[in-house]
Amino acid sequence: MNNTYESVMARKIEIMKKSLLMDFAQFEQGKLSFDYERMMNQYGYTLDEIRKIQREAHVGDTPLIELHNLTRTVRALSPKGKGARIMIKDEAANPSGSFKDRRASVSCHFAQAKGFPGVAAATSGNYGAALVSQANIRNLKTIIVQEVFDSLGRGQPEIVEKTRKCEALGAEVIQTSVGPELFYYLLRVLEETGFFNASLYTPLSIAGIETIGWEIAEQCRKLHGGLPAAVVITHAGGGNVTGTARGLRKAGAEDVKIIGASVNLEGLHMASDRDFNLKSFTTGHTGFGVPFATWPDRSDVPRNAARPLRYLERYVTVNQGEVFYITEALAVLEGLERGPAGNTALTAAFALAREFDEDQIIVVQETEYTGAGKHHYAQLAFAKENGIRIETGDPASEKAGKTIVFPSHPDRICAREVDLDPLRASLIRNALKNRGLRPSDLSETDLQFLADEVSRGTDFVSGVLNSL
Amino acid sequence: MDIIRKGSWVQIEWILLEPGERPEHLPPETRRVPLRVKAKGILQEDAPVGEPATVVSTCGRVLQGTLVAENPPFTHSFGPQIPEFIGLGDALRSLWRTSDE
Repeated sequence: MNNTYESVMARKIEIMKKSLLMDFAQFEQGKLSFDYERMMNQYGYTLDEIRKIQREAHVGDTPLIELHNLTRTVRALSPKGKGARIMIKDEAANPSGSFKDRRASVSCHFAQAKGFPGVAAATSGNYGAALVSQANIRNLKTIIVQEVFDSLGRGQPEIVEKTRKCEALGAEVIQTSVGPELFYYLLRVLEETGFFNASLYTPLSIAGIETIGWEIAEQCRKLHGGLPAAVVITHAGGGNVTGTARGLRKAGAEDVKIIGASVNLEGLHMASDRDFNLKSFTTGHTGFGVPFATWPDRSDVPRNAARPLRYLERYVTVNQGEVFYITEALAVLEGLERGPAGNTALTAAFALAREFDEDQIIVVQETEYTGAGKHHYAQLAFAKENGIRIETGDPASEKAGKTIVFPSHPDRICAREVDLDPLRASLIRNALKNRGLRPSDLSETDLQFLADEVSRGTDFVSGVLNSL
Repeated sequence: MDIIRKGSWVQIEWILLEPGERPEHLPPETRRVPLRVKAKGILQEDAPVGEPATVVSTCGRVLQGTLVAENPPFTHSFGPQIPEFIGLGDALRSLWRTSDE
């Protein structure tokens, strides 16, 4: 078999069909459209069935914790009567320590039911450990491909920890240097082993997250007498936003505002060997958040089930120094030592809660485990080693890759609004560009599809098309 | 040179893609260097560090590369405490309004 980069990538569609038991071509419509909801329902699991699968595998039903002391701090910084109650879904209570167990649970159930000998994924995040953990319960083997070290062989401590955790759970881990070609190696692994492709971006993975949204709605209704005003979601590849929002809708909570939050890493290139170890966050940042929002199908499956611009109503960014500060505050005020990346949404919620009334609820929809390498102390030590200056002052002055700025006062923590319309316009432009289409090529189906993709009317789509 | 015995748990490394084989859209600093891969497995024959070796991985795959080390330890740590954060809890509590009790 010819295993050059070009040959393997040319076999991608065929490898996907076998490793996902899904022919994505069946959903294609018009010139650039596809039937998203039909794809989401193709594997045929209902939300109730997924809850049952997750219960069997000890996933979900995590506590919703009210953060009284953080709320009290927010109120001290807010006008009288403002400062919403902040609650956090303690997803670190899942077996492998993050919400990613939900994504892995359904894929592993499906892979076992269909007789696959194992599962494989390319992931440098918590998902690797989640997949191994769930695969172990289902008696499946696991191969995880991770991007770990730069060309000097220096590993990002957080990802080294992910290697350790995957190996501790019994996985085969393939570590690569910097580059998106880990997906090329994954394709080779899938072809060689016949394992199930447990991609983060399949309908199974996203369906697994819907239970978070559903649980948030149910817990708020039962324990707090009503729905939250907003759910703040750490946004990277888009799955977290998509799944949580869909779950809230399935629980009849359409009015809950969906707010995405990412760490601002503007100026750092995600595929850069030089920038790789200048980041203190390996996920939940704009380096994934923006490109995945504006072109979801850049993912490792032909059609990505995570499509965040269909659901996001607001998108905000916070800076690295602010997230580290709030991570420390969560520990010293609430007694919860949790990983920094998952606290991105918490940092945004801390700033946003000041806009909301005291009797309203804001839910932060995840925590994650912390540990050696992942811990904010480890990341700050690593940043210093890489020449990044640690300062205290106005976090707005932080320059990713050069400085990390802790707020000199908590009222300097800010959720900086990202205008979604330019991102929506960018998605529309990318949809045409990536297929070499002109606006005049599009059918009514395509116009409606693009409108759904960006959660706006066809007028908005036409406006963007006219400006091309 | 250290000889590692057959049957040991070892790490190997190999070049997956040479610079010229990497996709064109990568940033120049990434495309200038090869894509390297590291993996672990059971060593199939005695071999010295730095020489070619064959291992069988956890999932039973046969992998070939340069022998790096026998069972290298994890050395990532928690790092030191952050002096700027000492006393943060007291500082935040001092801001609270008595009316919010």
